[in-house]
Amino acid sequence: MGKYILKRFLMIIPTFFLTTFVVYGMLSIIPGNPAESILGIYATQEQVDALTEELGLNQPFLIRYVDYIADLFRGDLGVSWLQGYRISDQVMVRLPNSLLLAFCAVFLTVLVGIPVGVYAAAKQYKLPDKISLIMSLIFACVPAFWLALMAQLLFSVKLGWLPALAEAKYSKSMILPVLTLSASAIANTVRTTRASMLDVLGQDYIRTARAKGSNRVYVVLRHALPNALLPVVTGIGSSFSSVFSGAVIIEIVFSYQGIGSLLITAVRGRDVPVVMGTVIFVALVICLLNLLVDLSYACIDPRVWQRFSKS
Amino acid sequence: MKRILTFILCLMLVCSTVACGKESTGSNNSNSAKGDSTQSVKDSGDTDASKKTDLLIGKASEAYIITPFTDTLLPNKNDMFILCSMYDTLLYLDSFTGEVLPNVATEWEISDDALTYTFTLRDDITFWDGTPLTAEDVAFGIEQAAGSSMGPVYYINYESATAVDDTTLVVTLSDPNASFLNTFAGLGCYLFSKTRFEEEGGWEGFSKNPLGSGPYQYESAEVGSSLTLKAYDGYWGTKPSIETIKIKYISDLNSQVIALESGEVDMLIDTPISTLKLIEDKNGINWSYTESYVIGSLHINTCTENGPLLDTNLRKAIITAINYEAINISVFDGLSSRPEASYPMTYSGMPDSGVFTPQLEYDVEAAKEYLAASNYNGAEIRLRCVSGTKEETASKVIQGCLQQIGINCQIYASDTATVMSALRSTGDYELILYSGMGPLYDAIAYHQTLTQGPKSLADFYPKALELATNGVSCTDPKERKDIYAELISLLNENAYSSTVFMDCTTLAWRDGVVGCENCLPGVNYRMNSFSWAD
Repeated sequence: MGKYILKRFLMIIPTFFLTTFVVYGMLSIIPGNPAESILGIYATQEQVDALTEELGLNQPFLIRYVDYIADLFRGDLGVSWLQGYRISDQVMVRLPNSLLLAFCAVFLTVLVGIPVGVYAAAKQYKLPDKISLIMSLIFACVPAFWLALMAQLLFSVKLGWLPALAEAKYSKSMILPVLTLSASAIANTVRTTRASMLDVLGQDYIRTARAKGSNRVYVVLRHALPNALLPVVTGIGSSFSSVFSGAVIIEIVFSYQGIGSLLITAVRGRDVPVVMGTVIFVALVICLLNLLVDLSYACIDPRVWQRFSKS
Repeated sequence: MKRILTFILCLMLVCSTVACGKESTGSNNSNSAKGDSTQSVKDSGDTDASKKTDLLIGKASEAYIITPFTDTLLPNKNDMFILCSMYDTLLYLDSFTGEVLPNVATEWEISDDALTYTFTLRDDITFWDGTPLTAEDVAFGIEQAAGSSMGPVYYINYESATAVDDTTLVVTLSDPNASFLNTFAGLGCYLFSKTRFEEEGGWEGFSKNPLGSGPYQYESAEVGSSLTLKAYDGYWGTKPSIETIKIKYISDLNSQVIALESGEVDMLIDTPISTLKLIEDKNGINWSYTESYVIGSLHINTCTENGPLLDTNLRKAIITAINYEAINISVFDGLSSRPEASYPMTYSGMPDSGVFTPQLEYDVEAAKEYLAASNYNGAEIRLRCVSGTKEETASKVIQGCLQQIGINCQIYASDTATVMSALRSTGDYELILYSGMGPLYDAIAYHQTLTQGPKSLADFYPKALELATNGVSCTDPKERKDIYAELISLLNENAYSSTVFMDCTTLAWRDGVVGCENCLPGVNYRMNSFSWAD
């Protein structure tokens, strides 16, 4: 098991290099000189050339990439071309904000999605099941930004219950962003859990347990749910990645100080160091989270644990 | 082992969730003034009791710099209202008349040869720390500005600035510059403390601990989130009645108006008219607009050896095919207009209306005749613009108009850097729709436009450059107007470019906020003019 974990950690290294190379390459081949954008339309050619040289933009792509990686391994993410702040400082502030948003959304997804899915499966073809299916279909299809705007109009403007803009702290301003971010994930979790539970509930051992006289609730929770959870965990694990990356739109709508909004601003302004810094951290976080999800399989399914132990 | 692993995973999940939460956004890496504890302004949900001393302003884009300038960066025109409130200028420009008025300098003399400017300064101005503002600070700031990226734009023909005594400043030029006074009335001359700048070792340190003399002083900033300014009680001019102004960056336009409706912000600056129209009938919400100094112009690429738009008839066909009123309606709800020239007629040096050859007007039949007389062979005409902006909306109207008469126009919407690069250096375009504001509120902007970039219009049109260069140094007002009238006529007769729209500045505010009824066409707002009604 230890070897497996180590192997997975080591796999992050080539993923990291590939991600940085692709993103840096894409930023390099986009037409346009960032120096011209920074200095504005009235700058002289001499000023543009001087800034181009200062930023190293006149160097070949590979030299720039190697220099960047070398600085990165020295712990230097560089400074923003547009605003001059240290990128590591900003990422260390904003990344936890985005993680807070994503974790809260996933927590809500697990808290609501799994029980509703279990209940829907237990009450198959009855009213609760139908309602849950319709609602999950709606929330799975509705775009997050539209849902966010409607939530703002209803809860902030019409009812005045919640703020329209969010701040990264445990307050009621986080409610709307977390709800809108988790809506789609909850919908998918409900459907996945329901389908998985129905599959398990049809198994012989479940019928046997009921035939032996075990309580219905006990059978569902003790025998059916653990076996149904494996595909659900897979779904939640992948939903974390989509929630984390999808938080960009929510951060823009709610003016939330997260890493997604930092990335959007940097891309618009062609602030290459900021884009690279944020992409690197986002990629690392997603790699680590995927590893945690894989390891969690071993906790849920003894068969997976045995397979890991043997290998 | 399995249980241990399970426990560790759960613990990591819980710790991550707890660790990501914070008690207060005020402690998030705020760049507060040295020696001050980090304070956040009240959150948007606070009671009305504190609202009367605070003002929350929503703004779409972040102020990239809060210093007058840096070695490489100039402040964005959208951020000037912040800088105007933090830093004084030597003179003040009346945005409506274009007149230059006294400010820190109470009077000035210009020598007969127009090479020496002598300013007399007020003696009662102090910086936020109480130290006096003297001519030495002004001279230092001018030297810094002239040596930075601002120099070629704002300090044409500049030679030196000298403080004769605490209240007398002498600035000398190598050649006359008719627009030079305007340099001191805006972006070109925000005044800051020489002592603080030297103590901080340059712009990087100064940006974290700035020192100006304006009615509002820097309190704290959270990158990408907000900027907080506090009133300076020792301000020499109109004392600010609002104690704290917090500028919150809300990039989404819908969220801006929602925040205004819900009361989370008290004012919005420069929200597009089409967005403000959505809340026009809401109780408690007001908004005003005025045409600004920013003009959207269609740049036609005639700076190539054998491009399609070297054909004058084709250029005229394009200009006369565009329905400018349709653009006005789609972008500004009909509230704007098409400007007569590439720069506002209120700019100093601009000729009077009607004395130069006007631009071609919308005329579909004439456009078809010009097109028939041209050598156009159906080739693609690329129309470049910055995506997600008013220019893209206007470009769609332009595309429709051109396609209507048979010109194969395709829109290439991209980011600012790509468009700027095409306009300045690569020449990789046929048409570009781009908005700009002449930096000096003076017709000298024509000279800057004609000479920017290596593939400049000036290489191909020596007469235009000659006129623009003469306009820089000509100090006789009437003669200057005649020069620019001839230049504008030359550009219009040959259809080298076309104005498309005049942008609008907007202000939106909740009931109770006073002093923002009149939008300024320029961007030199003074936030000490805002207050809460009693």
